[in-house]
Amino acid sequence: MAAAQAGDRDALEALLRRHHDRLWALCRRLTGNHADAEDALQDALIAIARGIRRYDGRAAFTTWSYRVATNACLDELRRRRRRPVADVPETVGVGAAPEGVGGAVSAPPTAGAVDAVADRLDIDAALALLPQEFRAAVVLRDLCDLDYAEIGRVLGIPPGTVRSRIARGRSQLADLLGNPTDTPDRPSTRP
Amino acid sequence: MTAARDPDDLASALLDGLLSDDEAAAARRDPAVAARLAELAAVRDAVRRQPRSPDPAARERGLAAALAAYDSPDEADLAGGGAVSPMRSARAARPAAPRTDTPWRPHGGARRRWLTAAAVVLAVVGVGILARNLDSGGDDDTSTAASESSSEGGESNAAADAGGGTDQTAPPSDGQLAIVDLGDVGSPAALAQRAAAMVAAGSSDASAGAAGGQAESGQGTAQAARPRSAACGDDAQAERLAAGGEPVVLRGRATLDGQPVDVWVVGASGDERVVAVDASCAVVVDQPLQD
Repeated sequence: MAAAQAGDRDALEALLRRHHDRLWALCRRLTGNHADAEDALQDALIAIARGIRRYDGRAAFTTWSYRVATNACLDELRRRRRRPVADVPETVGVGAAPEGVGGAVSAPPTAGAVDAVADRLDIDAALALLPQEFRAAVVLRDLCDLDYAEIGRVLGIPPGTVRSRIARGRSQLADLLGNPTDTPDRPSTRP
Repeated sequence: MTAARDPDDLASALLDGLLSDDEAAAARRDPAVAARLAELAAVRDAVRRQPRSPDPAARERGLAAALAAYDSPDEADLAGGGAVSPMRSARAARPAAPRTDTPWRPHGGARRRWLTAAAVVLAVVGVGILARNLDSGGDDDTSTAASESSSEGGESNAAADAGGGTDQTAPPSDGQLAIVDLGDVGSPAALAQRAAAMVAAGSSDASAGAAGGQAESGQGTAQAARPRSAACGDDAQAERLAAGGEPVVLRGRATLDGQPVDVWVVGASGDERVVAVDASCAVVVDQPLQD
Protein backbone atom coordinates (compact mmCIF):
# COMPACT_ATOMS: atom_id res chain seq x y z
CA MET A 1 0.00 0.00 0.00
CA ALA A 2 2.65 2.50 1.04
CA ALA A 3 4.73 1.65 -1.99
CA ALA A 4 1.77 2.12 -4.29
CA GLN A 5 1.06 5.49 -2.70
CA ALA A 6 4.68 6.44 -3.15
CA GLY A 7 4.56 5.81 -6.87
CA ASP A 8 5.54 2.17 -7.18
CA ARG A 9 3.61 0.98 -10.20
CA ASP A 10 4.32 -2.69 -9.58
CA ALA A 11 3.03 -2.36 -6.05
CA LEU A 12 -0.17 -0.82 -7.31
CA GLU A 13 -0.61 -3.56 -9.87
CA ALA A 14 -0.14 -6.20 -7.20
CA LEU A 15 -2.63 -4.41 -4.97
CA LEU A 16 -5.22 -4.17 -7.71
CA ARG A 17 -4.77 -7.79 -8.69
CA ARG A 18 -5.16 -8.88 -5.10
CA HIS A 19 -8.44 -7.03 -4.72
CA HIS A 20 -9.74 -7.43 -8.24
CA ASP A 21 -11.93 -10.46 -7.78
CA ARG A 22 -13.79 -9.22 -4.76
CA LEU A 23 -14.42 -5.87 -6.45
CA TRP A 24 -15.59 -7.75 -9.48
CA ALA A 25 -18.02 -9.75 -7.38
CA LEU A 26 -19.40 -6.54 -5.90
CA CYS A 27 -19.82 -4.90 -9.28
CA ARG A 28 -21.31 -8.03 -10.76
CA ARG A 29 -23.94 -8.24 -8.06
CA LEU A 30 -24.72 -4.52 -8.06
CA THR A 31 -25.02 -4.12 -11.80
CA GLY A 32 -26.50 -7.53 -12.50
CA ASN A 33 -24.65 -8.29 -15.71
CA HIS A 34 -21.20 -8.78 -17.07
CA ALA A 35 -21.00 -5.83 -19.44
CA ASP A 36 -22.03 -3.19 -16.94
CA ALA A 37 -19.91 -4.82 -14.26
CA GLU A 38 -16.86 -4.63 -16.50
CA ASP A 39 -17.48 -0.97 -17.22
CA ALA A 40 -18.10 -0.12 -13.60
CA LEU A 41 -15.13 -2.08 -12.37
CA GLN A 42 -12.86 -0.43 -14.86
CA ASP A 43 -14.04 2.97 -13.68
CA ALA A 44 -13.48 1.87 -10.11
CA LEU A 45 -9.96 0.62 -10.80
CA ILE A 46 -9.11 3.87 -12.53
CA ALA A 47 -10.52 5.86 -9.63
CA ILE A 48 -8.52 3.79 -7.18
CA ALA A 49 -5.35 4.22 -9.20
CA ARG A 50 -5.90 7.95 -9.40
CA GLY A 51 -6.91 8.30 -5.80
CA ILE A 52 -4.40 6.01 -4.13
CA ARG A 53 -1.97 8.83 -3.55
CA ARG A 54 -4.67 10.72 -1.70
CA TYR A 55 -6.00 7.75 0.23
CA ASP A 56 -5.52 8.79 3.83
CA GLY A 57 -5.92 5.45 5.57
CA ARG A 58 -8.78 6.54 7.79
CA ALA A 59 -10.82 3.66 6.46
CA ALA A 60 -9.41 0.25 5.66
CA PHE A 61 -8.32 -0.01 2.06
CA THR A 62 -10.90 -2.73 1.57
CA THR A 63 -13.69 -0.46 2.77
CA TRP A 64 -12.42 2.45 0.72
CA SER A 65 -12.15 0.37 -2.41
CA TYR A 66 -15.63 -1.00 -1.87
CA ARG A 67 -16.85 2.54 -1.61
CA VAL A 68 -15.16 3.53 -4.83
CA ALA A 69 -16.54 0.47 -6.59
CA THR A 70 -20.02 0.98 -5.22
CA ASN A 71 -20.04 4.55 -6.42
CA ALA A 72 -18.80 3.43 -9.81
CA CYS A 73 -21.56 0.86 -10.06
CA LEU A 74 -24.28 3.27 -9.00
CA ASP A 75 -22.86 5.82 -11.39
CA GLU A 76 -22.95 3.29 -14.18
CA LEU A 77 -26.56 2.46 -13.44
CA ARG A 78 -27.51 6.12 -13.20
CA ARG A 79 -25.77 6.82 -16.44
CA ARG A 80 -27.91 4.21 -18.06
CA ARG A 81 -30.94 5.43 -16.12
CA ARG A 82 -32.20 2.03 -15.31
CA ARG A 83 -32.16 -0.80 -12.91
CA PRO A 84 -29.66 -3.57 -13.37
CA VAL A 85 -30.37 -5.93 -16.22
CA ALA A 86 -29.50 -9.45 -15.24
CA ASP A 87 -27.67 -11.79 -17.54
CA VAL A 88 -28.88 -15.28 -18.19
CA PRO A 89 -29.20 -16.92 -14.78
CA GLU A 90 -25.99 -18.29 -13.47
CA THR A 91 -25.40 -21.83 -12.44
CA VAL A 92 -26.18 -22.10 -8.80
CA GLY A 93 -23.27 -22.72 -6.53
CA VAL A 94 -20.45 -21.71 -8.80
CA GLY A 95 -17.42 -20.96 -6.72
CA ALA A 96 -17.21 -21.05 -2.99
CA ALA A 97 -18.80 -18.75 -0.52
CA PRO A 98 -16.38 -16.57 1.36
CA GLU A 99 -15.59 -17.76 4.78
CA GLY A 100 -15.71 -16.11 8.11
CA VAL A 101 -18.91 -14.13 8.11
CA GLY A 102 -18.38 -12.05 11.18
CA GLY A 103 -20.96 -12.18 13.89
CA ALA A 104 -23.36 -14.16 11.81
CA VAL A 105 -25.51 -16.94 13.04
CA SER A 106 -24.37 -20.22 11.58
CA ALA A 107 -26.64 -20.99 8.69
CA PRO A 108 -29.85 -22.25 10.19
CA PRO A 109 -32.03 -22.64 7.14
CA THR A 110 -34.21 -25.63 6.80
CA ALA A 111 -33.51 -27.83 3.83
CA GLY A 112 -36.84 -26.87 2.40
CA ALA A 113 -36.12 -23.18 2.57
CA VAL A 114 -32.77 -23.54 0.87
CA ASP A 115 -34.19 -25.72 -1.84
CA ALA A 116 -37.11 -23.42 -2.39
CA VAL A 117 -34.75 -20.57 -2.99
CA ALA A 118 -32.14 -22.46 -4.91
CA ASP A 119 -34.64 -24.05 -7.21
CA ARG A 120 -35.71 -20.67 -8.48
CA LEU A 121 -32.45 -18.97 -8.02
CA ASP A 122 -31.69 -16.12 -10.24
CA ILE A 123 -30.20 -13.95 -7.63
CA ASP A 124 -29.19 -11.23 -10.04
CA ALA A 125 -32.70 -10.91 -11.38
CA ALA A 126 -34.04 -10.69 -7.86
CA LEU A 127 -31.42 -8.16 -6.83
CA ALA A 128 -32.27 -6.09 -9.88
CA LEU A 129 -35.79 -5.68 -8.59
CA LEU A 130 -34.67 -4.29 -5.27
CA PRO A 131 -34.49 -0.56 -4.70
CA GLN A 132 -30.92 0.50 -5.28
CA GLU A 133 -30.28 1.48 -1.71
CA PHE A 134 -31.46 -1.87 -0.41
CA ARG A 135 -29.48 -3.78 -3.00
CA ALA A 136 -26.24 -2.05 -2.15
CA ALA A 137 -26.69 -2.60 1.57
CA VAL A 138 -27.52 -6.28 1.19
CA VAL A 139 -24.65 -6.96 -1.21
CA LEU A 140 -22.13 -5.14 0.94
CA ARG A 141 -23.24 -7.18 3.92
CA ASP A 142 -23.86 -10.60 2.49
CA LEU A 143 -21.30 -10.70 -0.30
CA CYS A 144 -18.60 -8.36 0.93
CA ASP A 145 -19.05 -9.20 4.60
CA LEU A 146 -18.76 -5.63 5.79
CA ASP A 147 -20.16 -4.82 9.19
CA TYR A 148 -22.89 -2.24 9.60
CA ALA A 149 -20.53 0.58 10.50
CA GLU A 150 -18.41 -0.08 7.42
CA ILE A 151 -21.48 -0.23 5.22
CA GLY A 152 -22.58 3.05 6.73
CA ARG A 153 -19.29 4.59 5.76
CA VAL A 154 -19.46 3.18 2.25
CA LEU A 155 -23.00 4.38 1.64
CA GLY A 156 -22.83 7.51 3.74
CA ILE A 157 -25.72 6.57 5.99
CA PRO A 158 -26.09 5.87 9.71
CA PRO A 159 -25.76 2.27 10.97
CA GLY A 160 -29.42 2.26 11.97
CA THR A 161 -30.38 2.98 8.40
CA VAL A 162 -28.01 0.25 7.26
CA ARG A 163 -29.75 -2.23 9.51
CA SER A 164 -33.15 -1.21 8.21
CA ARG A 165 -32.11 -1.42 4.59
CA ILE A 166 -30.51 -4.80 5.02
CA ALA A 167 -33.55 -6.21 6.79
CA ARG A 168 -35.93 -4.84 4.20
CA GLY A 169 -33.72 -5.82 1.32
CA ARG A 170 -33.32 -9.38 2.53
CA SER A 171 -37.02 -9.60 3.18
CA GLN A 172 -37.89 -8.43 -0.31
CA LEU A 173 -35.33 -10.78 -1.80
CA ALA A 174 -36.84 -13.69 0.11
CA ASP A 175 -40.26 -12.75 -1.16
CA LEU A 176 -39.01 -12.34 -4.70
CA LEU A 177 -37.19 -15.62 -4.73
CA GLY A 178 -40.21 -17.27 -3.24
CA ASN A 179 -42.59 -15.57 -5.63
CA PRO A 180 -40.74 -14.03 -8.57
CA THR A 181 -43.80 -12.21 -9.83
CA ASP A 182 -43.84 -9.86 -6.87
CA THR A 183 -42.22 -6.50 -7.39
CA PRO A 184 -41.42 -4.41 -4.35
CA ASP A 185 -42.27 -0.77 -4.25
CA ARG A 186 -39.39 1.45 -5.11
CA PRO A 187 -39.03 4.47 -2.87
CA SER A 188 -37.98 7.66 -4.55
CA THR A 189 -36.02 9.05 -1.65
CA ARG A 190 -33.44 7.82 0.72
CA PRO A 191 -34.56 7.42 4.32
CA MET B 1 -39.32 -6.34 24.00
CA THR B 2 -38.76 -8.38 20.88
CA ALA B 3 -42.38 -9.39 20.47
CA ALA B 4 -43.36 -5.96 19.25
CA ARG B 5 -40.70 -5.82 16.55
CA ASP B 6 -41.05 -6.77 12.95
CA PRO B 7 -40.15 -10.44 12.37
CA ASP B 8 -38.12 -9.50 9.29
CA ASP B 9 -36.06 -7.04 11.27
CA LEU B 10 -35.60 -9.48 14.10
CA ALA B 11 -34.65 -12.32 11.80
CA SER B 12 -32.18 -10.16 9.93
CA ALA B 13 -30.64 -8.90 13.15
CA LEU B 14 -30.45 -12.43 14.46
CA LEU B 15 -28.78 -13.57 11.28
CA ASP B 16 -26.13 -10.92 11.72
CA GLY B 17 -25.61 -11.65 15.39
CA LEU B 18 -26.89 -8.27 16.53
CA LEU B 19 -29.22 -9.47 19.28
CA SER B 20 -28.32 -10.12 22.85
CA ASP B 21 -28.53 -13.69 24.09
CA ASP B 22 -31.90 -13.06 25.67
CA GLU B 23 -33.26 -11.34 22.61
CA ALA B 24 -31.94 -14.07 20.37
CA ALA B 25 -33.47 -16.78 22.51
CA ALA B 26 -36.81 -15.01 22.51
CA ALA B 27 -36.66 -14.48 18.79
CA ARG B 28 -35.89 -18.12 18.14
CA ARG B 29 -38.95 -19.13 20.14
CA ASP B 30 -41.15 -17.07 17.87
CA PRO B 31 -42.24 -19.35 15.01
CA ALA B 32 -42.66 -16.44 12.62
CA VAL B 33 -39.15 -15.21 13.29
CA ALA B 34 -37.69 -18.70 13.10
CA ALA B 35 -39.32 -19.31 9.74
CA ARG B 36 -38.18 -15.97 8.41
CA LEU B 37 -34.68 -16.58 9.69
CA ALA B 38 -34.44 -19.70 7.57
CA GLU B 39 -35.54 -17.81 4.49
CA LEU B 40 -33.21 -14.89 5.07
CA ALA B 41 -30.31 -17.25 5.65
CA ALA B 42 -31.05 -18.85 2.31
CA VAL B 43 -31.11 -15.41 0.70
CA ARG B 44 -27.81 -14.53 2.31
CA ASP B 45 -26.25 -17.70 1.03
CA ALA B 46 -27.56 -17.00 -2.45
CA VAL B 47 -26.12 -13.48 -2.50
CA ARG B 48 -22.86 -14.76 -1.11
CA ARG B 49 -22.25 -17.24 -3.88
CA GLN B 50 -19.44 -15.95 -6.00
CA PRO B 51 -20.55 -14.76 -9.41
CA ARG B 52 -19.06 -16.10 -12.57
CA SER B 53 -15.50 -14.89 -13.01
CA PRO B 54 -14.75 -12.01 -15.32
CA ASP B 55 -13.32 -12.54 -18.73
CA PRO B 56 -9.53 -12.72 -18.20
CA ALA B 57 -8.92 -10.44 -21.14
CA ALA B 58 -11.33 -7.87 -19.72
CA ARG B 59 -9.59 -8.10 -16.39
CA GLU B 60 -6.23 -7.38 -17.96
CA ARG B 61 -7.65 -4.47 -19.91
CA GLY B 62 -9.19 -3.00 -16.80
CA LEU B 63 -5.96 -3.30 -14.91
CA ALA B 64 -4.04 -1.79 -17.79
CA ALA B 65 -6.41 1.16 -17.89
CA ALA B 66 -5.96 1.69 -14.16
CA LEU B 67 -2.21 1.57 -14.44
CA ALA B 68 -2.34 4.02 -17.32
CA ALA B 69 -4.32 6.38 -15.11
CA TYR B 70 -1.76 5.90 -12.37
CA ASP B 71 1.01 6.72 -14.79
CA SER B 72 -0.75 9.92 -15.77
CA PRO B 73 -1.87 11.57 -12.54
CA ASP B 74 -4.29 14.37 -13.08
CA GLU B 75 -3.89 17.93 -11.95
CA ALA B 76 -5.52 17.25 -8.62
CA ASP B 77 -2.98 14.58 -7.82
CA LEU B 78 -0.12 16.80 -8.77
CA ALA B 79 -1.56 19.63 -6.74
CA GLY B 80 -1.64 17.57 -3.61
CA GLY B 81 -4.84 15.86 -3.62
CA GLY B 82 -7.94 16.06 -1.63
CA ALA B 83 -8.67 19.71 -2.12
CA VAL B 84 -10.84 19.09 -5.10
CA SER B 85 -14.40 20.23 -5.37
CA PRO B 86 -17.01 18.39 -7.37
CA MET B 87 -17.88 21.75 -8.83
CA ARG B 88 -14.45 22.26 -10.29
CA SER B 89 -14.25 22.01 -14.01
CA ALA B 90 -14.46 18.42 -15.09
CA ARG B 91 -12.03 19.22 -17.83
CA ALA B 92 -9.24 19.89 -15.35
CA ALA B 93 -9.72 16.63 -13.51
CA ARG B 94 -9.56 14.25 -16.40
CA PRO B 95 -6.54 12.03 -16.75
CA ALA B 96 -4.31 12.52 -19.69
CA ALA B 97 -5.03 9.21 -21.32
CA PRO B 98 -6.34 6.40 -19.19
CA ARG B 99 -9.68 6.07 -20.92
CA THR B 100 -9.56 5.92 -24.60
CA ASP B 101 -12.17 4.97 -27.08
CA THR B 102 -10.54 1.72 -27.91
CA PRO B 103 -12.27 -1.53 -28.73
CA TRP B 104 -11.69 -2.96 -25.29
CA ARG B 105 -14.45 -0.85 -23.84
CA PRO B 106 -17.47 -3.15 -23.83
CA HIS B 107 -19.69 -0.39 -25.15
CA GLY B 108 -17.22 1.18 -27.50
CA GLY B 109 -19.72 1.36 -30.31
CA ALA B 110 -22.14 3.32 -28.22
CA ARG B 111 -19.35 5.60 -27.11
CA ARG B 112 -18.37 6.29 -30.68
CA ARG B 113 -21.94 7.22 -31.44
CA TRP B 114 -21.92 9.58 -28.46
CA LEU B 115 -18.67 11.03 -29.67
CA THR B 116 -20.20 11.72 -33.03
CA ALA B 117 -23.26 13.26 -31.43
CA ALA B 118 -21.11 15.37 -29.13
CA ALA B 119 -19.03 16.58 -32.05
CA VAL B 120 -22.18 17.62 -33.89
CA VAL B 121 -23.48 19.46 -30.83
CA LEU B 122 -20.17 21.20 -30.37
CA ALA B 123 -20.07 22.22 -33.99
CA VAL B 124 -23.56 23.69 -33.75
CA VAL B 125 -22.71 25.49 -30.53
CA GLY B 126 -19.51 26.76 -32.05
CA VAL B 127 -21.30 28.17 -35.06
CA GLY B 128 -23.84 29.81 -32.78
CA ILE B 129 -21.17 31.36 -30.62
CA LEU B 130 -19.31 32.57 -33.66
CA ALA B 131 -22.50 34.18 -34.93
CA ARG B 132 -23.04 35.85 -31.56
CA ASN B 133 -19.52 37.12 -31.52
CA LEU B 134 -19.93 38.63 -34.92
CA ASP B 135 -23.03 40.40 -33.66
CA SER B 136 -21.72 41.57 -30.27
CA GLY B 137 -18.06 42.10 -30.72
CA GLY B 138 -17.13 38.72 -29.37
CA ASP B 139 -15.69 39.39 -25.96
CA ASP B 140 -18.18 37.83 -23.58
CA ASP B 141 -17.47 34.99 -21.18
CA THR B 142 -19.73 32.58 -22.94
CA SER B 143 -17.62 32.53 -26.03
CA THR B 144 -14.59 31.72 -23.93
CA ALA B 145 -16.29 28.86 -22.19
CA ALA B 146 -17.59 27.49 -25.43
CA SER B 147 -14.25 27.67 -27.15
CA GLU B 148 -12.64 25.83 -24.25
CA SER B 149 -15.31 23.24 -24.47
CA SER B 150 -14.74 22.86 -28.16
CA SER B 151 -11.04 22.40 -27.76
CA GLU B 152 -11.49 19.64 -25.24
CA GLY B 153 -13.83 17.85 -27.58
CA GLY B 154 -10.80 16.65 -29.45
CA GLU B 155 -9.46 14.68 -26.52
CA SER B 156 -10.23 11.04 -26.38
CA ASN B 157 -11.19 11.03 -22.71
CA ALA B 158 -13.49 13.96 -23.23
CA ALA B 159 -15.15 11.82 -25.82
CA ALA B 160 -15.48 9.05 -23.31
CA ASP B 161 -17.17 11.41 -20.90
CA ALA B 162 -19.44 12.60 -23.62
CA GLY B 163 -20.41 8.97 -23.93
CA GLY B 164 -21.63 9.23 -20.38
CA GLY B 165 -24.17 11.62 -21.66
CA THR B 166 -23.76 14.74 -19.57
CA ASP B 167 -20.96 17.13 -20.20
CA GLN B 168 -21.68 18.11 -23.73
CA THR B 169 -25.20 16.97 -24.34
CA ALA B 170 -27.22 18.35 -21.46
CA PRO B 171 -28.04 21.99 -21.80
CA PRO B 172 -27.49 24.37 -20.19
CA SER B 173 -23.84 23.54 -20.49
CA ASP B 174 -21.35 23.56 -17.65
CA GLY B 175 -19.56 26.79 -17.06
CA GLN B 176 -22.65 28.81 -17.82
CA LEU B 177 -24.38 28.12 -14.53
CA ALA B 178 -23.16 29.96 -11.50
CA ILE B 179 -22.68 27.98 -8.35
CA VAL B 180 -25.26 29.05 -5.84
CA ASP B 181 -24.72 29.03 -2.12
CA LEU B 182 -27.83 27.48 -0.62
CA GLY B 183 -26.68 28.08 2.92
CA ASP B 184 -27.31 25.89 5.96
CA VAL B 185 -30.28 23.56 5.92
CA GLY B 186 -31.33 20.95 8.39
CA SER B 187 -33.04 18.38 6.21
CA PRO B 188 -33.40 17.20 2.63
CA ALA B 189 -36.86 18.72 2.55
CA ALA B 190 -35.47 22.08 3.57
CA LEU B 191 -32.79 21.76 0.95
CA ALA B 192 -35.37 20.96 -1.70
CA GLN B 193 -37.45 23.90 -0.60
CA ARG B 194 -34.54 26.27 -0.80
CA ALA B 195 -33.44 24.91 -4.15
CA ALA B 196 -36.97 25.25 -5.46
CA ALA B 197 -36.98 28.88 -4.35
CA MET B 198 -33.72 29.43 -6.17
CA VAL B 199 -35.01 27.85 -9.33
CA ALA B 200 -38.25 29.78 -9.14
CA ALA B 201 -36.36 33.00 -8.60
CA GLY B 202 -34.12 32.42 -11.53
CA SER B 203 -31.41 30.94 -9.38
CA SER B 204 -28.06 31.60 -10.83
CA ASP B 205 -27.67 35.32 -10.78
CA ALA B 206 -28.81 38.21 -8.67
CA SER B 207 -31.81 36.31 -7.34
CA ALA B 208 -29.52 34.06 -5.34
CA GLY B 209 -28.90 36.76 -2.80
CA ALA B 210 -32.59 37.39 -2.32
CA ALA B 211 -33.10 33.83 -1.15
CA GLY B 212 -30.42 34.00 1.47
CA GLY B 213 -27.48 32.70 -0.51
CA GLN B 214 -25.03 34.19 -2.92
CA ALA B 215 -24.04 33.37 -6.41
CA GLU B 216 -20.46 32.57 -7.14
CA SER B 217 -18.48 32.22 -10.24
CA GLY B 218 -18.30 28.70 -11.56
CA GLN B 219 -14.61 29.26 -12.07
CA GLY B 220 -14.03 30.47 -8.52
CA THR B 221 -11.09 29.05 -6.70
CA ALA B 222 -12.14 29.65 -3.12
CA GLN B 223 -14.81 27.00 -3.25
CA ALA B 224 -12.51 24.58 -4.98
CA ALA B 225 -10.49 24.39 -1.80
CA ARG B 226 -13.16 22.48 0.07
CA PRO B 227 -11.82 18.97 0.66
CA ARG B 228 -13.37 16.11 -1.19
CA SER B 229 -12.65 12.41 -0.94
CA ALA B 230 -10.80 10.69 -3.70
CA ALA B 231 -13.66 8.24 -3.79
CA CYS B 232 -15.44 10.40 -6.34
CA GLY B 233 -12.83 9.70 -8.95
CA ASP B 234 -13.16 12.99 -10.74
CA ASP B 235 -15.55 15.89 -11.04
CA ALA B 236 -17.20 14.49 -14.09
CA GLN B 237 -18.14 11.42 -12.12
CA ALA B 238 -19.71 13.54 -9.41
CA GLU B 239 -21.68 15.44 -12.00
CA ARG B 240 -22.75 12.26 -13.75
CA LEU B 241 -23.65 10.73 -10.43
CA ALA B 242 -25.93 13.65 -9.69
CA ALA B 243 -27.36 14.42 -13.09
CA GLY B 244 -27.34 11.03 -14.74
CA GLY B 245 -27.54 12.67 -18.13
CA GLU B 246 -30.45 14.92 -17.32
CA PRO B 247 -30.32 18.67 -17.88
CA VAL B 248 -28.73 20.58 -15.03
CA VAL B 249 -30.99 23.40 -13.90
CA LEU B 250 -29.03 24.64 -10.91
CA ARG B 251 -25.69 23.96 -9.35
CA GLY B 252 -24.93 24.88 -5.82
CA ARG B 253 -23.61 23.89 -2.50
CA ALA B 254 -25.01 23.86 0.95
CA THR B 255 -24.43 22.64 4.44
CA LEU B 256 -26.91 19.88 5.13
CA ASP B 257 -27.25 18.98 8.75
CA GLY B 258 -23.71 20.15 9.35
CA GLN B 259 -22.20 18.38 6.36
CA PRO B 260 -21.05 20.24 3.25
CA VAL B 261 -22.77 18.98 0.14
CA ASP B 262 -22.74 19.83 -3.51
CA VAL B 263 -26.17 20.24 -4.95
CA TRP B 264 -27.68 19.86 -8.38
CA VAL B 265 -31.20 20.44 -9.56
CA VAL B 266 -31.67 18.27 -12.59
CA GLY B 267 -34.46 17.22 -14.89
CA ALA B 268 -37.00 18.65 -17.23
CA SER B 269 -39.17 21.56 -16.19
CA GLY B 270 -41.86 20.43 -13.82
CA ASP B 271 -40.06 17.19 -13.13
CA GLU B 272 -36.90 18.42 -11.48
CA ARG B 273 -35.08 16.56 -8.76
CA VAL B 274 -32.67 17.88 -6.21
CA VAL B 275 -29.57 15.76 -5.77
CA ALA B 276 -26.93 16.34 -3.14
CA VAL B 277 -23.55 14.64 -2.97
CA ASP B 278 -21.51 14.79 0.18
CA ALA B 279 -17.79 15.24 0.60
CA SER B 280 -17.17 11.55 0.17
CA CYS B 281 -19.16 11.38 -3.02
CA ALA B 282 -22.19 9.64 -1.59
CA VAL B 283 -25.58 10.75 -2.81
CA VAL B 284 -27.29 11.91 0.36
CA VAL B 285 -30.37 13.48 -1.20
CA ASP B 286 -32.21 12.48 -4.32
CA GLN B 287 -35.80 13.57 -4.33
CA PRO B 288 -38.28 15.60 -6.31
CA LEU B 289 -37.71 19.32 -6.11
CA GLN B 290 -41.29 19.94 -5.08
CA ASP B 291 -41.70 17.31 -2.40
